[in-house]
Amino acid sequence: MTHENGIDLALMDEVFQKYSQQKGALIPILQNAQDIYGFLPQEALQLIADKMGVSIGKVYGVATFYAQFYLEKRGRHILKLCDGTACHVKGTPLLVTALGDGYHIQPGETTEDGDLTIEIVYCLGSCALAPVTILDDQVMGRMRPEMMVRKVQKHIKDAQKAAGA
Amino acid sequence: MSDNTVTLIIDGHQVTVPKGTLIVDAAKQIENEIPVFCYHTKMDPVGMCRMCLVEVGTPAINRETRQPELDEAGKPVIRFFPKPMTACTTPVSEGMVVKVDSESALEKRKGILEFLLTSHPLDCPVCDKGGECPLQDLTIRHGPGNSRFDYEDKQRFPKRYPLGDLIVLDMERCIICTRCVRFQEEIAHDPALAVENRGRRAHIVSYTDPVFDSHYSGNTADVCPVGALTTRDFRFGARSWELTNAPSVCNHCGVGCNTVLSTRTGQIKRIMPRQNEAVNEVWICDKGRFGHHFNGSPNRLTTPLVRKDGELVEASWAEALDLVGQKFAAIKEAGGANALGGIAGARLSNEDLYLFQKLFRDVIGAHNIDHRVGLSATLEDETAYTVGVGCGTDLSRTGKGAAILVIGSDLDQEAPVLYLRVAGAAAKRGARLINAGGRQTKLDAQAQTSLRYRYGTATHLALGLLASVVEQKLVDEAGIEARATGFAELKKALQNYATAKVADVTGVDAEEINAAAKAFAEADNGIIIFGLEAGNDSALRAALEALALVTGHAGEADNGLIAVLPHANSRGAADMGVVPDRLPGYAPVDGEAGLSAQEMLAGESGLKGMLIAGVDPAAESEAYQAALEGLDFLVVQELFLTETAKLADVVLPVKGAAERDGTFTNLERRVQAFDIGVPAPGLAWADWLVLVAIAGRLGAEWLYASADGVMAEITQQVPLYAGMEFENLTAPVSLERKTSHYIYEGMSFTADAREGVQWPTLAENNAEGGPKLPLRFIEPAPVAGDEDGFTLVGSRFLYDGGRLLAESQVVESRIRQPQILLSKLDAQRLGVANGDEVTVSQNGVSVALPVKINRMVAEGTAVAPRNVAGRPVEKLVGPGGVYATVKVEKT
Amino acid sequence: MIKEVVTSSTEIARAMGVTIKYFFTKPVTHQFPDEPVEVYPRFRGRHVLKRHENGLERCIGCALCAAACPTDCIYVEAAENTDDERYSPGERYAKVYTINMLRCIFCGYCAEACPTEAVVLEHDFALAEYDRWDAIYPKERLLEPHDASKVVVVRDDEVFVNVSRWGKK
Repeated sequence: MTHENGIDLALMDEVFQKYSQQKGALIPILQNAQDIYGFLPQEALQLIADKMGVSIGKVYGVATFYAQFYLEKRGRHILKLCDGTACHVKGTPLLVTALGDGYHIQPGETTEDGDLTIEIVYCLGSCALAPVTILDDQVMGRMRPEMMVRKVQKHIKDAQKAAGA
Repeated sequence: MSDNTVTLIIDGHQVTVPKGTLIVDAAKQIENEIPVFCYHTKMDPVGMCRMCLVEVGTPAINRETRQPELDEAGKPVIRFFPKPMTACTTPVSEGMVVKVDSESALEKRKGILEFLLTSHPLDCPVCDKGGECPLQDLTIRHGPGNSRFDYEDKQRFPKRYPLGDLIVLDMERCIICTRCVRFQEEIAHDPALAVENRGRRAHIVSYTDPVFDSHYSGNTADVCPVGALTTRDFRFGARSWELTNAPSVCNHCGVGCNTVLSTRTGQIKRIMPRQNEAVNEVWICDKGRFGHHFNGSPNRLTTPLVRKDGELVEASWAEALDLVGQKFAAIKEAGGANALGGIAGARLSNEDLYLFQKLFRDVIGAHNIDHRVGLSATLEDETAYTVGVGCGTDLSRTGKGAAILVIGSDLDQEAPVLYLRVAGAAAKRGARLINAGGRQTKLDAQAQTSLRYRYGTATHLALGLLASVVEQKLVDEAGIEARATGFAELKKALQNYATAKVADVTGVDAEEINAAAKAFAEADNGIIIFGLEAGNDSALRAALEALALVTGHAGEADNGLIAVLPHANSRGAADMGVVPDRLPGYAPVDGEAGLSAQEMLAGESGLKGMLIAGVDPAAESEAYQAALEGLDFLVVQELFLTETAKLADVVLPVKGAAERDGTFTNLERRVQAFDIGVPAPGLAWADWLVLVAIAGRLGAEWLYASADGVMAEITQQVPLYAGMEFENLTAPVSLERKTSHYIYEGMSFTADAREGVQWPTLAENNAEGGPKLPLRFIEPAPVAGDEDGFTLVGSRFLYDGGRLLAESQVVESRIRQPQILLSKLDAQRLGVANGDEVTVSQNGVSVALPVKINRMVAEGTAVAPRNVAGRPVEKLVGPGGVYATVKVEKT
Repeated sequence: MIKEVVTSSTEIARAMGVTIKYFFTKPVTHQFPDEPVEVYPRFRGRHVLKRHENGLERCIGCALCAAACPTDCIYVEAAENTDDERYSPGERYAKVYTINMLRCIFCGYCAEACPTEAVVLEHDFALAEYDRWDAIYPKERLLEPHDASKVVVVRDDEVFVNVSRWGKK
């Protein structure tokens, strides 16, 4: 899927130059690659493996180990739902169900139009606001299913308007 | 208390071990088995599974006085760490107290097991590991009786997920100890496996193409402490307790890996490595593991065949042997003894080979015998006899201070387990590895120095190294004086091989030659490993012999030469005198030498009758086939109806190595005995018995009742083999040399570990005052000028088209098909892609081969596998040749 | 003398009484094989290899019965199920399952060892054969009869978790 996205691997040259002298720079290189492409395309991972002289398996191993790396293209808006103990008890599963009904996606998935990605995270440290969600850096606490779906819809619409204007 | 040892107390028992020892290893010394999953004796500790948690305490030190605190009784106060420590990562320290069986430690390990079992399926009844599973055993010993975790919450993964054709992964059973991943990285140097994701979603994946591309993949199933990785071959073959285990020796290459034949109802169900630290440690390659199916194959010959009216028809042994006796006697009568000749394959055991030469020399009276067909045709390898590696050489311990020079051998393909050991010595234990070769091989990744010479100039490089050693005054003068002659002449001859000149001829940088020569000469121990790809000439062997002697790397353990010979018993065949000019034990023959295999197969040899055992020259070349067709009478001893057997007048069915006992001599001259594992099909006899019967028909009275009896005579007749009675060869190894705790190696040691016996070389004898060795110099063949075209290398690959391997369906997809490996640039230049056909031609001979682009192949070079269907490369480079300059064109 | 006659007559009469009494009770012997024989529910007779309700074999070829057998009369060879050829629900099934009834002592350890309750000692005890070889029961004779047309086809992906890309985060 990814190779149809027109990945320009030349963009990585600068990154390799920057870290060429550094040993064990796999993680910063991956971070830089993600900054460039928004996620980690397969081709980029293969290139990193070749350039670093490590096995492709190892690169995938690191990329999949850390939650900060994404192997698939993500949506324009990202909604993080906390499913830590407190939030779970206060109803995060209900939020997931509501989103599933509204957008037909499960945690980790992106809507077909590429608008929204939802992710489950474990404890954002705001247990007092449980269940807590973060929509593009905007923290929303004490969420109820209907309220959340409404807020998400509004957020996406506002952004579209802003882009249109 | 010495400086290098540490004394500690484990569960009340005092134990003294070397500094730096890990607690788990220290405990092993007093038979205290600390349970482990991720720890493996051969790999670096990682402390991942937490199963080895123990309580550790150290003597409390008073901060002011810096002295150990003492209690009222005057004993040091032991301060325990607040949390348990992993015994597999914690090194011992002086005065340390370890509690393995304390209540708290037991409780913690119980907890770890409960965690490990949260998602582990209870499918032990259908699991191939069941019955020999560390997880099963340790759960019974240390685990909780039940689980507090919710069954519904189990982590589910696909079962029977194929990791390539050979290995099946059941991720649900995996406990992420990463032994397989680490084996592939640290030991096999094929990072084909990786762990993806983390936590409960962590799983094993392979990103190589083909999936799990490694010659050592079967070992991951051995090291797996659960049933997550199992082999496709043994899948559901039998339960471990139903198997009968016979100690054996692998018959696929010259390394001589010790194996266990696990059999049931007379069939080999699987082959596992048998521990021998001096040969294969605890590993075997996939060819050895999966290439056993020829034993039980339905295609095996089961009765003697005799040619009647042009057809091979079944006959009784008596009929067939009588005919052989009559015909051989008649040929001898008519044309003299020299009208008869014999070729014995180097896959036969020492006993067979000894009787083979005895039959020809004593009974028939001819020296026309040989074992060298194909690539080894011109091989006259006596280096092992003169400066072979010293007795007691152990590559599993070779490390810092040692230098290993590899010339012209792709060890990963030709002698896989030797590759593991050489790569391990360099990558893990700090030996200096110099890899000289005409092309890039896998070993280059572990080598500190790679010397890439032009094909045909390996001898020049060897002489260049030798000259550089002399030039740099790194010569072991005293040693040469004491044990060698002819140094002055050698020195004179070497003047023509100044580094700069050699650099020019070979294409290797002069600086690098000097540096390599220096590194090799200055090392404490030096081993030279050379393969057939360096060229089959005596000039090279003379140069390498001289290099070993001049640098003082000969005649003692961990020093000397190893020739990477092609077959399981190539070494033994030379030892047993199955060559036209040497008797057993390398004594020259009285009078004229006989015909070599090449001469016998040349057509105009004057031979009327031949006996060919365990080798298939007709498949090697059409010329050989024609020569065999021209014989009056041909007898073949074989497992299968090979191309040669099809031409025979009498075909005698013989037993495979698993069906009989005997001995093989490996590359390091270690004589090793193998036992009978399974019954032979039909009426097959052991080769030595067939030879006894033929000798009997020719009037000799040989009284051998067993292979053991033949070996008893060899020990008497061949001084090198003195003391190698079966009794000594099969003696079990002392406990110090083997691990009896199978959880540490991840496999069950179900058969005796044996060490085998090495025979001493001339260099070792002269270290003890034996005769001096001559330093020889032989002028190398002139180097051909630059010709236009590709250098085509016919190289040996592990999975070739050999007859024995063809019976193993499980490795079918890995067997090399005729192909030509080209670099990407060359392929682009020729306008071809993977799978396209090219015409390769030289001197009017041309063959069409499909292209495979390979990134290991250099520009201007083309590599093609030998010994594959149709033998296309041999047509171009000759059955005994290695390389040729060829034209490659798009078809 | 008279006393002796009297006592012996009474003894005879008593004995006859017993005889006559049993003459009217139901016989304990059975007219086997004309009449069927009732056995106790936990009687251990010939083994039967059971099936699941969907018709698949319960036996998974684990050979634990063979391991438990004190007389070594069970021989099992396992093989792997495929989508095209499925005998039991999991990965493994018994390709060969043989019991030598001449050796068997009907101890029932096999049934006890069986993790899937596949092998059960049922009530058939009439195991006489004309040929000794016939007493070695192959799997076909041990297997519970089942209407082959009613065997439910189960595919691999219904049995195992099958994530197309399980590497996915």
